[in-house]
Amino acid sequence: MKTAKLPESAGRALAQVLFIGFFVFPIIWIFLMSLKNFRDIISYPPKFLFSPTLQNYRETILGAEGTLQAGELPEYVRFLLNSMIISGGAVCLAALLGIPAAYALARGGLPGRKHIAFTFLSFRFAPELMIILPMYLIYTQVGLYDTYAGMILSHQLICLPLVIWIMMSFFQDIPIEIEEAARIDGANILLTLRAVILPISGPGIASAMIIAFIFSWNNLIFGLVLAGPNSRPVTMGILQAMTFDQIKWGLMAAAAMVSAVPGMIAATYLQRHITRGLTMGAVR
Amino acid sequence: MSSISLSGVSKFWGDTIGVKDLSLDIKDKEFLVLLGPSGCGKTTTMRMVAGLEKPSTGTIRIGERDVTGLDPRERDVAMVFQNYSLYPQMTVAQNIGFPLRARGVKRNEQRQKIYSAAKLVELSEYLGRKPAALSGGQRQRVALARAIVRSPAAFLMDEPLSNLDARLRISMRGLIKRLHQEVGTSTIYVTHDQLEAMTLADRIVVMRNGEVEQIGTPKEIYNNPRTAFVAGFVGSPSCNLLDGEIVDGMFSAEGISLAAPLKPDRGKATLGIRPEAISLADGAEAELRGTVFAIEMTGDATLVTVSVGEQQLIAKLDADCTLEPAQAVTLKTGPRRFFFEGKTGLAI
Ligand SMILES: Nc1ncnc2c1ncn2[C@@H]1O[C@H](COP(=O)(O)OP(=O)(O)O)[C@@H](O)[C@H]1O
Ligand SMILES: [Mg+2]
Repeated sequence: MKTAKLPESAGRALAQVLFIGFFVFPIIWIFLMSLKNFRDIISYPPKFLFSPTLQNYRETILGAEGTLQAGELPEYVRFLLNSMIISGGAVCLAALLGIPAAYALARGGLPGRKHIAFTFLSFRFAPELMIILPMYLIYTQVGLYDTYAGMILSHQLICLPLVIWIMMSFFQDIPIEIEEAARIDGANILLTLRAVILPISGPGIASAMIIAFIFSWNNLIFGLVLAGPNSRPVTMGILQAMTFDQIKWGLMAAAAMVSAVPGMIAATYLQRHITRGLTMGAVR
Repeated sequence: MSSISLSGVSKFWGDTIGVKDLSLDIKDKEFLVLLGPSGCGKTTTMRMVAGLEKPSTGTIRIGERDVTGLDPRERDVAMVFQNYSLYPQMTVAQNIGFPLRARGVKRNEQRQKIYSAAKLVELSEYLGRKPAALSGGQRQRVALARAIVRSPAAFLMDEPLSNLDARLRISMRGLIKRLHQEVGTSTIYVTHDQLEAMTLADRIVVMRNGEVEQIGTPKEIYNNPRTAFVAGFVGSPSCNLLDGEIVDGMFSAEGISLAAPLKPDRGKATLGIRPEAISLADGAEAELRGTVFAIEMTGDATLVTVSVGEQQLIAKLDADCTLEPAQAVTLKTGPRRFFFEGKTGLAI
């Protein structure tokens, strides 16, 4: 038995290494790049042994020496803050609108609710390029161009469908009898939501918001077209390393690494805390 | 506490019939059991009384009030679900107290009532636990306490014991019976288990395909089944139903010949005999002739399956009976036997 299994498990291990390598290699490559000086980056053949430097990170986070006015934040840090405000705001707004909507779509007797739910989902697979130009025109007209409000609003196209769909399937998984029990116990809809549904849904809401945050954080196109100097998000910050006369590869890599940190933290949190069996003990 | 009455209540979903033209009166303090096979409309009936389902026709009254169009919140009934339906994020105490909280009962009063309800179901020591940390029987006791705590007009229980194992079921049955004797609230109890129905009920409603087959006390149902279906549904092992023909006061089929009612004087009929009413007989006494098909020992009795012509019956005989498979046997029946019309299944 054991000898027969060995090549099989070796094959599986190899497949896993290839699979993981495929996804992890670019990240490692960029990480290494962020630690190299310019000369090492452009050397050919590529260097795997080099003396690492933190200069790229220093310049990304603290700004290039001598370019800062007193009391001014480095550009990249401003972009980070912008992204925090935009993605944080977008996720909060999406939760505020999306959770009640998801509940209504999951439980309400709304006619055609399947179509409505699908319409929300379709926002996700329509390419953003399709709507970005009309949005640009509208935004410049009504004064939403390059504002936090405008960015938060545009990110609803990313966050709202995610929140609605994740929460809808979550609500559908809650046994209807729990809500019926609450009705019979005399609770009105508000008490039922507050005391019964939302406490059960806590982990679901957390995961929906985190996923929406990651997608919003990683978005480039809205920031590219709809944001100006006041509200550029961090993804645009990475592009700032492409200047008129050169591409500062090291800076770009460092900026990319830093901006990936929130996503990585969120993913780790998701993996650790979002488990099944959320209604454990309620039924059965 | 109050009576409940349903008159002409039906429930349809398109072509699907849930319940058809049901009329029922549950007296104050009565323990009424809805009994029937799965899909016969028991749950639907109960959900209409609770207000979770709107009847397609008919009216429902609780006490003097017509509650047909009212929301569950306004009906003052408590319900125990098959799957417990506890609130998973709340402690046992919070679960039991939720109906009080929903009604804005004062904290002090809540605490007192929660405590005495928990005591009734023997859960006083578990008040701080979450449902996930309880066994199935304990969970269902929480559900019972949650129903009792606010002294509702009626209890509705939908197969509350069917998720429990056999031993627990028996002790919970005892608990439910005792609770009813203690608080005396009118109760509608749904089950497909005839033994539960027989042991708990003041009256049983046997349902089939969304309609009432018979209403009566457990004794009436057992001794005077109105239809062959009822006879076959109550009793364990279930009543033997044998097809044959009545001609001039004699019921006969292959291997069967025994005295029958004189009216009708001829026609197809079904004979109902309970296994415990059958005994070995010889010679002139014999009413049934067949061969032993299988023998099962239950400890206190022997269940013998006998082939009689093309049909089979089960006889409950003495524990020390010495029959062998394939042996020829002759049997007689006691005075308690039923005859049903062949077509309609109605008792003759
Ligand atoms: N929401 C529903 N929609 C359509 N048919 C239903 C619905 N609920 C119950 N039924 C049908 O009504 C009949 C009675 O169901 P139910 O009352 O649950 O039976 P029981 O509780 O006796 O097993 C069944 O045939 C069932 O399929
Ligand atoms: Mg049912």
